Amino acid sequence: MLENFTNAFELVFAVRVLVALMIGVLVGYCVGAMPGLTSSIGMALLIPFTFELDAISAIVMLVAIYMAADYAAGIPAILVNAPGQPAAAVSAFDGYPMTLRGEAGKALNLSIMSSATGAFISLILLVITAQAMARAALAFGPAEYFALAVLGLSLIAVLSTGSTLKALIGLLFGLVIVTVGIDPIRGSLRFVVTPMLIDGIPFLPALIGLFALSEVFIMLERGNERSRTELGVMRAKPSLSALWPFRRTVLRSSFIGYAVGVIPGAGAAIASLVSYGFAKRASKPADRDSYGKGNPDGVVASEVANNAAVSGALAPLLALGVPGSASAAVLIGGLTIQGLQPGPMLFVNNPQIPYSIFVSLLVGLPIMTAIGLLGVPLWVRLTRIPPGAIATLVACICVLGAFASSNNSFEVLVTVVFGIIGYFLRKVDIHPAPIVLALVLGYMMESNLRRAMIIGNDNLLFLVSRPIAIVLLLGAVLVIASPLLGRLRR
Amino acid sequence: MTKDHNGKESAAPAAGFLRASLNVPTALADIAVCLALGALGLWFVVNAAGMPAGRTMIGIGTFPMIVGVILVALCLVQIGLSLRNFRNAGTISFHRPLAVPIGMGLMLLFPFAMDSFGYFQTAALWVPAFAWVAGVAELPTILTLTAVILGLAYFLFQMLLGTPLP
Repeated sequence: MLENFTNAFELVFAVRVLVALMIGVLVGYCVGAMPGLTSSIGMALLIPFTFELDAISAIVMLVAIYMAADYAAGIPAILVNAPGQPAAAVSAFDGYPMTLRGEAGKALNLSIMSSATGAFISLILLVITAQAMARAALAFGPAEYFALAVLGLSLIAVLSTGSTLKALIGLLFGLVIVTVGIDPIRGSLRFVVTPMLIDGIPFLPALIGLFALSEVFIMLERGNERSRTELGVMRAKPSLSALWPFRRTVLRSSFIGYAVGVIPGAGAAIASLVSYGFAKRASKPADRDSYGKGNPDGVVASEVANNAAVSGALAPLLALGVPGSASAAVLIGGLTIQGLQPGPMLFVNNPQIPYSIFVSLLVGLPIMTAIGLLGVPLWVRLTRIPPGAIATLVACICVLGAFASSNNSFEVLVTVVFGIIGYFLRKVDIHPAPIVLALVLGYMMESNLRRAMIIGNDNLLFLVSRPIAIVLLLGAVLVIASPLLGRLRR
Repeated sequence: MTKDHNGKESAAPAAGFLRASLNVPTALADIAVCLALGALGLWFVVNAAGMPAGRTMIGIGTFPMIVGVILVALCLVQIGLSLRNFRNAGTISFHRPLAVPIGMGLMLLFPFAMDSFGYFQTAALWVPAFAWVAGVAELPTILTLTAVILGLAYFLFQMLLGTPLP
C-alpha cells in the first residue's frame, strides 16, 4: 500500500498531471459557480478534452472538476440564493440569511473551510474502505455481480428524487436502449437500425445530450432573465479556527456524508439534507428555531456532508464498478474511454489509477481551498453571466465535444436526439441520472446474468447459490418493497 | 423597448414573440411521454421475440424482452394513475414555448449544415441565431459570444486537441 502511495505521489507531481489538476479545479469552480450547471454536466463536457491526455492526467482532471464543482456550488447558494448544484441548496437555507445580515464573508469562509475539512476526513475513509471493498469483491463471480447490479439499480430508482414509478420508467428506458448493438455473449447484432449503431448507442454523446444539452433546452425556457441581489461584503478571510466551535457537526456530517455518498443514487443532495436534519436535532432546543434563519451550524453541516459524499460515491465506483452518483457514472465513462475498467481488478491491474485519485484528492485540497478563497469576486461575477450566453456556449461545447469523441457528425446527431429526449423526460419529472446509471450498469447486469446461467447450466437457483448474492438480492427486494410497505401501512 | 437581464432598457427586439407561456395538464404530458416510452418498449419486445433462442435458457433476446415488458407494464400503470388523477395533477408550464422547438430545430440542423458547409461557416451564422433564441438581445454580447466560440473551436479543439473539424 505504501509503495502504491509513493508511486502515486511521483505520478501526480509530474508537471502535466499538476496542470491537469489545476485546469480541472478551475473548470470545476466555474461550473459550480454557475447556477444550472452541475459537476456531471461539467465532467460530461470536459471528457472530450481528455482524449489526448494520458490516463492519469485525464482521471485527475475529471476528479478535480467533480470535487471543485461541489466546493464552488455553495458560493452562489450563499451569495445570491441560487445554488450552483442541487446539493448546495441546503447551504442556502442559512448561508443566504447570513449574507443578508452582512455576514457573507463569514459564511463563505465557513463554507470553504467546511468543504475542505469534510473532503479531507472522507478521503481518509475512502482510502480505508475502498481497498477493503475491492478485496472482498475479488471473490465475486457472475452471480454476485448480477446481484450487485440489481441492488445498485434498485437503490437508484428508489432514492431518486420525485416519483419512484417515474424513476423506474427512466431506469428501464436506459436498460432497454443499452441492449442495442453487439450482444455481450454471442456477438450477434441486436436492434441495429443503422450500421452506425453496431457498437451500440454511443455512451458519451448520449451522456452529453441527457445531462448538458437537455439543460440547455431548460435554459432556453428561462430566457435571459435572472434575479439579482446586490452584495456587500464578499471577501472571505481564511481561518480554520472558525470551524472549531462546530467540530462536532464537522465530524458527524463527514461520516453521514460519506455513508450516504456510498449508497448508489443517494448523492450529495440527500447527504446534505440528512446531515442538516441531524445538526438541527443535535442542537440545543433554544437554538433550533435559528436554523433556516442564518445559523452558521447549518452551513457547516450542509457543506461538510455534500463534499464528503463525493469521496463516498468514489468508493463503490473504484471498488465495485458501481457508480454512487450521476457524476460518478460520468467518471466511469471517462475511465472506460481511457481503456480502464473500474472494479476490484483496477486495484490489481492498474493500482496507479485509484492511488493517483487518492493522492490528487489530497493534493487538490489546498489548491481548491486557496482558489476558492482568493477567487470569490470572480465566482460572483460568473453568477452574473447572462443565462442565454451560458446556454449558447454550453450548446456549442456539446456539439464540439460530441464531434471530437469520434470525429463523426452522427455522434452530434445522437447528442441532439438524447438532449431532446432528456428535455421532455425532465419536464415530466423523469431525471437523467437513473437513465445514465442504467446505461452504465445494464451491460454488467445482462452479461453477468447470462454468464451465471451458462456456469449454472440454466438453473436460475444458481443466482441465489452464493451467500453474498443472496444478501445483495434480499437487499434489493427490501429496497423496492419498503416504500410499498410504508404506503400499505398508512 | 425591452428589459435585459440587468434590468436596462434596450431597443433591440429581445425575442418578444418567444415570451409567452404554455400550460399543459401534467397528466396529459405524463400520458404522452409514457405512450412514447411504452411504444419503444413494445418495439423492443416484438423484435426480441423474433430473435433466435439459442441453446441456453437466456438467449440474445431474453434480457431486452424482459426489460421491455416491464417498461410497457410500468408505462401502462403510470398512464392509469395519470387518468385517475387527471383533474388534480396540476399543470406543467412550458415557458417561451416557441424558443425551445426553434432551439431544438437549430441543434438538429447543426450536424447536417456542418457536414455541408463546414464547421466555422455554420457556427458563424448559427451562434448568433441560437443566442438570439436564448434571449441574448444585445449585439455586442452576441458578437463577443460568437468570437469566443469560434476562437474556442479553432484554438482549443482544432489546434490543441487536433480535432479535424469539417
